[in-house]
This record gives sequence, C-alpha cells and structure tokens, in this order.
Amino acid sequence: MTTATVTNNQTNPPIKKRGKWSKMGRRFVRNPWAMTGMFLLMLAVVSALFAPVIAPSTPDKADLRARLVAPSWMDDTGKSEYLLGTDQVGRDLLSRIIYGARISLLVGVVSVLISLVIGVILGLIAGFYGRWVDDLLMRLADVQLAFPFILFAIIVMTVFGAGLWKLILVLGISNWVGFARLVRGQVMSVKEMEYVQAAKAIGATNLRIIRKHVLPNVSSSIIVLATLNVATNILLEASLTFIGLGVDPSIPTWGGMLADGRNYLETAWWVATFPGIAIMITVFGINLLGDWLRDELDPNLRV
Amino acid sequence: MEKSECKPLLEVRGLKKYFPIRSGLMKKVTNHVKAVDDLSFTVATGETLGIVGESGCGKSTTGRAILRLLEPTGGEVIFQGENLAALSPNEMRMKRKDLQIIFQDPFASLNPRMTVGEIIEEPMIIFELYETSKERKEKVAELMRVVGLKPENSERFPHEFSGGQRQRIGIARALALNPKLIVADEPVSALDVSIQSQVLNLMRDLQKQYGLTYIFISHNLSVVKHFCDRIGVMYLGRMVELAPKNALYEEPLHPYTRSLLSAVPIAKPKTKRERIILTGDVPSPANPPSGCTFHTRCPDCMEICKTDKPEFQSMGDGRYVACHLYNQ
Repeated sequence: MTTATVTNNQTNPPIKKRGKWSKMGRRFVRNPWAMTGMFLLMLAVVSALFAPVIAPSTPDKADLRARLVAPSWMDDTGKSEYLLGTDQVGRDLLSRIIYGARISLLVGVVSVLISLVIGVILGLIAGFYGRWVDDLLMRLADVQLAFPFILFAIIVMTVFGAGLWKLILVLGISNWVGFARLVRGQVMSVKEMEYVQAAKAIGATNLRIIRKHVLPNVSSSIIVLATLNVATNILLEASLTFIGLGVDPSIPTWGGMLADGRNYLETAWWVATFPGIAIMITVFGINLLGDWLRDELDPNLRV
Repeated sequence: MEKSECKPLLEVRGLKKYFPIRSGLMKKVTNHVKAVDDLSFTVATGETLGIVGESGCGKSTTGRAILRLLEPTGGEVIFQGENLAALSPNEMRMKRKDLQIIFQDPFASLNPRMTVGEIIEEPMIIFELYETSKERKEKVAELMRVVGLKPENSERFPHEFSGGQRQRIGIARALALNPKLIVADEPVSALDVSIQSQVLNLMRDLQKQYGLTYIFISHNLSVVKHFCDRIGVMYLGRMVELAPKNALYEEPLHPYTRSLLSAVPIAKPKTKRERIILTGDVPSPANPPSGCTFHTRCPDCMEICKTDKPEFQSMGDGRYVACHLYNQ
C-alpha cells in the first residue's frame, strides 16, 4: 500500500493534495535528527510516565550496607547488583534517575513555558507598540534582572512555603526577561519590514499583524532560547533544592542527585555522572526537536 | 489633458510629514526632518500621476502618508470627498479597501512565512468579502491568472518565485480588494530591465480592465515618461513642478526639472545638448535652506530666492511651478 502510493507520486504529478499536517509528519519521519531528538526525549517521557513499571527498585529504598556501590558492569568483585551503582545512602541510582525524570521534566518544561508565554507576550507588546509601553515594560525587565534570582526565590518560598508548583512558578517568572528582550528586539526589526506595512495597507488589525506577520517571523529565536532554557531550569531546580527551597529532598530529581553526587566525585563518580548524562540526553533531544521545529516553521529552509 | 479636469479622486492639500530628531538623555525633540513639507496636488479618476525626484526627496514618504502607513503631521488627504487624515484608525482601516499600495522591494513586501495563496487571500478574509473559503480560493486563482501567475502555484512560498513574479504577487494582493487608487512605490526599480516593461504593461492592462487610478512613484524619468499622464517633480519634500507629461518633457519650467531631464541619457550619441550639472549636494531636510530650498544649487538663483519661499502657482494648461522666475 505504502509503496504503491510512493511510486505513484514519483511517476505522476501528485493527484491528491496532502494535508498540511500529514506533509509535516512525513518530513518529520524522514528527518534523522528530528527522529533522534524524539527518541531521546521519549526516553525521559516514558521513564516519567511508567516509572513504577520500568524501575528495578523503588527510588527511596536505602540499603545502608550497599552505599556508593559501583555500577555492576564495572564492579570487579561481581557483587554489585545495581546497573548504575548506588548513592551515599545505598539507593539504586537507575531507579532514582527513572523516577527523577518526572520532576525534572515537569520543572524544566513547564517553567520554560511560563517564561515563554509571559516573555513573548510582553516582548511583542513592547516591540510593536514602542514608546512609553516599551519604556515601561523594559524598565520592569530591568527591575526583574536587578533582583537576584536566589533572593527572589527565598522571598517567595519563605512567604508562601516551598513546593513543586511554587518552584516552577518562581523559575517561570524569573526567566521571562530573556524572552521579552529577545522578542522585543526582533519585533522592532520585523515590524519595519515592508510586509508588515503591506498587512497594514490591506486593513489588518494590530492583533492580526502581530499574530500572523510578526510572531511567525520571530519564532525561530524563541524556540532556540526555549530549548536552551530547559536545561538551565533543570539545573536551577537543583540549586534551589540544594538550599532547601525546592522540592522535598526525599523526592528524586536529576538536579538534586547531581548536587548530592558532587561530594563523591573522586571516590564514586557515578553518583553525579549518571544524572548528568540523563539531563544531557534529554536536553539534547529537546534541542534536536527544537531545531527541527525551527526549520519546519521557516519555509525558506524547506526544499 | 481632459482627464485632469473632471472631479478629482484624490486631493492632497498641504500634506506634511515631519520626523522628529531626538537627542540627549531625555530624548527631547530637538529638530525635525521635513520629509514632506506642504505638498498639494490632485489626482483625477483613471489617470496616472507620476511623482519623481532623487533619493530622499520624500516621494515614498508622500505615498505612505497618503495611505496613512505613516501618520501625516499635517494637511488634508481628501479621497472621494472624505479627509482621510481626520479619520479614526478604525475608520481608516475600513477605507483601505479603496486604497492600495505596491511596494518597491518584492523580496521584503511578502511575508516569507505565508504561501502565495494565503498572501492574496488575506485582504479578502480581513474584509470578509466572500462567504466561504472556496469562493475566496476561486478568487485567488482568478487574480493569479489575471496577473500572469499559475494558480496551481498558490501553495508555494514567496522565496520560490523570481523578482518579477513576486512583484506580480504583490499586485494581485493589491487588486484583491478591488481598490480605486493604487500607490505604486517604485514598483519596477528593483527588477531587471527586461522584467520592468512586462510589469509596467501588466499594470497598464489592469488599469484599463479595472479602471484603476495610479500614483506612480519613481526616480526613473524614462519609466515615468512611458507610464504616466501627469508628472510631479519633488525636491526636498516639496513639489517644484507639476505638469502633463508632454509639456514637462518638452518644455520644463523649473530649473531643477531642466537639470533632471538633461541628465536622462538619449539613445543618439551625436545629439548635442546642454547638460545642466548641479553643484553641491542635496541640503539636509532637517535644516533646509531659507527661501526656495533649491536656491543653493540653482543655476538661475536670484536674490529673492534666498529669502522668499516661492508659491506653487498655476501656469495654465494644468501646469504648476514653484519658482520665482515665473512670478507675474
């Protein structure tokens, strides 16, 4: 069936037009980098969703007799039964990494989405309308930047108490400035383009101009910044957890594990390394997907 | 010409567009660039008015101020008896159905993220011209045929087309709303010479077919001569001469027009003629000379030119000139 359609398309001009989405799907499947990115991200997503099924053990079961045990494949004594070793209180690292995907993905992705939405909206408004609106929003951004992130987190967490969602919100709110500044700068150049003038000339409202003509043309850099921010926020979660402002320390998170493992780098490198690799793989996957999305949204790059 | 005697479609009275120059910490307005300063002319239904002048003389600004793509600083733009400059932004938005623009740069004037079909369809969506998307798509196909594009290419993106084809897309978009007046802002100056005449011929055919009125902005005197009925010459934000085409080319009145026309190359190398070469540069529009703005470069400058601003006066036969040489 599939082969038949393909040969048909090659010999004759396409008879039936494919929908926008199905074309996009085909381009995705044919793009090895996009597929790799999807595969890497799915590793983390599947771990998060099916952690109890996949994990060999529970993440908080501590075996004090097996502290800092090396990964089984490099343990010469042959006694280690832990694929990725154990941490300083004898918890299975693999299970903790699998469970940790939940918090880390949630924190990384949702907090970036929050900053993206706030930052992009404010950046569009500031860049498009200029004048006092721009001045006001950019001074607000300066205020936000001048305020140390950790101090901001401490204040929020002490006033409202620690917690996962508050952590996500704090991360989301404190990172909007990057998006806003980036978008504002791009909007200022895009809005001088003649096609924006043309849109005005055909009677488009400001909202329509922003939505249809400005936003699509600034989307590339937004996507790139967002994918970069995911990694940063996964690590920021760790630093907040480290000073006691993040999630409950008993809940495994990649950033938290990385912070724990710091002290044992010389004696038990695996404690910090494997969570680091997990972060790296996920971020790499998100970056690949982001690159694909950026190219997909830019018809100039499509052949 | 008899055309200019009927009731004008568009009347521009004392149009001004100043751009503020801000400096200092508080961004205080210290001066203005007078891009368009006190411009008046009329455009009759069905005619083509050419506006020529060198770079920076305010021709494009004039076109955009008429359409309020740039807000005019002062003056009136009366279109079919209604002052566009006094309309609220939303009223103006509704008026845009009748006034369209074709841009100079066919690469910058089309949104790279939209397909050609979407670009041409958008004005119809905004003005809700047709009930269904199918009707709009049919109209898009018709417009593409009219401007000489293949309708089956409507799914393609602008970058897949050549410069001349892109300009046709821009023309199709302008036509989508059945406008009465089209401001053509150097529509062919970014195109290859071989393509220029094709696009000009297309515009002329469309003018006949749809009864369009053009304001044709250009710096190319040969193109303007070929295309326009009447021609206005601009210098430093003012119109120095306005005349029917033949009169202007045969007997230019203003010294600036004379020097411009003497610069047009003639295809007969042995023809001897006087070449008027202007000295000096165009003065800054932020600080225009007193009196007649052209007096610093004028070969016929008189004492009065340095102090008094010349009136834009009628010389009969639809000719106007702003020059003290012709004071009665």
